[in-house]
Amino acid sequence: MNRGRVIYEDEAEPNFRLAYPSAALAAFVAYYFEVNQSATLANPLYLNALPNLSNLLCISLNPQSWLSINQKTGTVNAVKGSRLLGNLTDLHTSIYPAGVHEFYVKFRPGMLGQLVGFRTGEVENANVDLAAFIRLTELEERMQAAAVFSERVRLMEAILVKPVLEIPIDYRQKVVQIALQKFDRNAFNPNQPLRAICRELGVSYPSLHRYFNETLGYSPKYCQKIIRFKNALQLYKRHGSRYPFEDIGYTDFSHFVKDARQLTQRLPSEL
Amino acid sequence: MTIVEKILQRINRPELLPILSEELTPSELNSLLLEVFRRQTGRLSPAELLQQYQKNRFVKPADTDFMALHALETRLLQIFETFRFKAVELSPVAPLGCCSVVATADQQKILSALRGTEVLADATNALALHVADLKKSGQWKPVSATDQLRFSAIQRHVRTPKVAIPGHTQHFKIGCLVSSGRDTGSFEFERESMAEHLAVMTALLRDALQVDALRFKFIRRSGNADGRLLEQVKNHILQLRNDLVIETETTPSRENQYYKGLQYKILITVRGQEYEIGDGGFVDWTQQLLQNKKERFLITGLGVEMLFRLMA
Repeated sequence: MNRGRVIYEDEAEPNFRLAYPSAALAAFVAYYFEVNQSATLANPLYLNALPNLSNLLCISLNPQSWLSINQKTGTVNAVKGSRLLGNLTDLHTSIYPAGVHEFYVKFRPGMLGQLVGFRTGEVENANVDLAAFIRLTELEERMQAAAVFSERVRLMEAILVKPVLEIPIDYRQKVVQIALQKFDRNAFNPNQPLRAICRELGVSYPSLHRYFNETLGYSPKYCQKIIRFKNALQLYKRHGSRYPFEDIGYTDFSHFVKDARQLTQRLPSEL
Repeated sequence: MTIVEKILQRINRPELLPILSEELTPSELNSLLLEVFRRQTGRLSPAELLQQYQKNRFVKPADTDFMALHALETRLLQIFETFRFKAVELSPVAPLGCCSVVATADQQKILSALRGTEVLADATNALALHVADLKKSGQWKPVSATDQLRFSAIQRHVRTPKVAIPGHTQHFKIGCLVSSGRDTGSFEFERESMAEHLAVMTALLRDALQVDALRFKFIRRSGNADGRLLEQVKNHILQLRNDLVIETETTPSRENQYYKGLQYKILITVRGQEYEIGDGGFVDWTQQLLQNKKERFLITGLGVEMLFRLMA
């Protein structure tokens, strides 16, 4: 049954384009992407968004609404226009009918909040009109006027670079960002528990916990859990249930399935 | 002997019915009846009015949680609009004969009213008139031959047959989708419009309301030239999407002249029990209204109030 699917950054998709930020913005922006759905109304695109820590700016390039359904609560949002999309604590399924064309900026955890003035936890599962945060008309018009994705990326970089580089990054935020990188697959070592990461960062666990709560609104354990799950799901999609899940911090495959159920209320095969 | 015949016999005025229905113009009859009702209501006391209210099965409020039902309707309309079915708030009354003139519906099952109207008994018929008016008056002109008009509505319907099933009421909320287009050959309109209606119902019932199971049943109906319609539409949809469950009934046990060529039913499972929550199909109403055989019209009706009770 089609219940949507998760698309990863390295997957080639006809409806998606993705670009990474310049070095100057790499600490703030994870990447830019665009959804340009040309399918018919009869065959909408179904995508799943996993629980995550990222906040998104969504610039509408075409006035076609789409549906966002919180799979835990059943809340349905008909999303139209440019939006600020909060980080997710629940699985969300997006249904894009024909004509949806949107440009997204995916900020690193906590960074959009720094720019606009909120804590990540304050906008969890939020889907709000971007006009409430920034002057939108001119931005939308300029983005819509740009002919191609690469031009829109350049334009967005030029718009972001000044305000973003003025964001004051304090010691706590730096520690949180480094810890998040360590949680990610490439840096993550299952034999390195949180205590070891704390030692490496030169902070106690209570301090790390406090830094995470102050900057993101979540505990380090919760953040580690959702990052690990995202990476594990990608490996499951590539290698199936025989992948050695203990290599990425799970006790076994059942542990991974249990996390899937807890975080998304679904089996990994349904994501 | 019918009730009307008995009444005419009792008052000894057998010519009254032909006079009222054939000799008087609709406008004259309306004026006459307005005066009759004015005199009748003039004699009515407040106590008698209350008695009428207590006895009349059409006039009591719905027994649903209004706010919660309204919230469900808003979710439904958001989904309809996302799939470009423009939501329309119809009048609570339609022109007299709105259903029975173009469809196989008995006028006795509809609450006929004065001033050339009837209480809305089927919003899809009212939407067919809206579409036909837009096309005939030139307010809507297609850019390409395959352009479609899509509308949705959620309306309270009133039907007169006494309900026998517990939980059913004389008035109830129905959600409707209609698609109007032209025949461009190869069943293009039929294939695409039906796929769109199923996509909306799937997004609504399976994805948003998360019913336990959803399946569609296609039923072959007469009125289509070569009978290939059902297979063509089904194959097209299954090519587009492999996640839909579509069953077919090519030799239906009961005849139905309402739909032409293809009828479909929407079946959902909630708490282990399967319910027929909606149905639809192709009808020739816009062909009749616009006197054009090329017109195509697909309707879907969804039992919103029943759905609300099931999902509560």
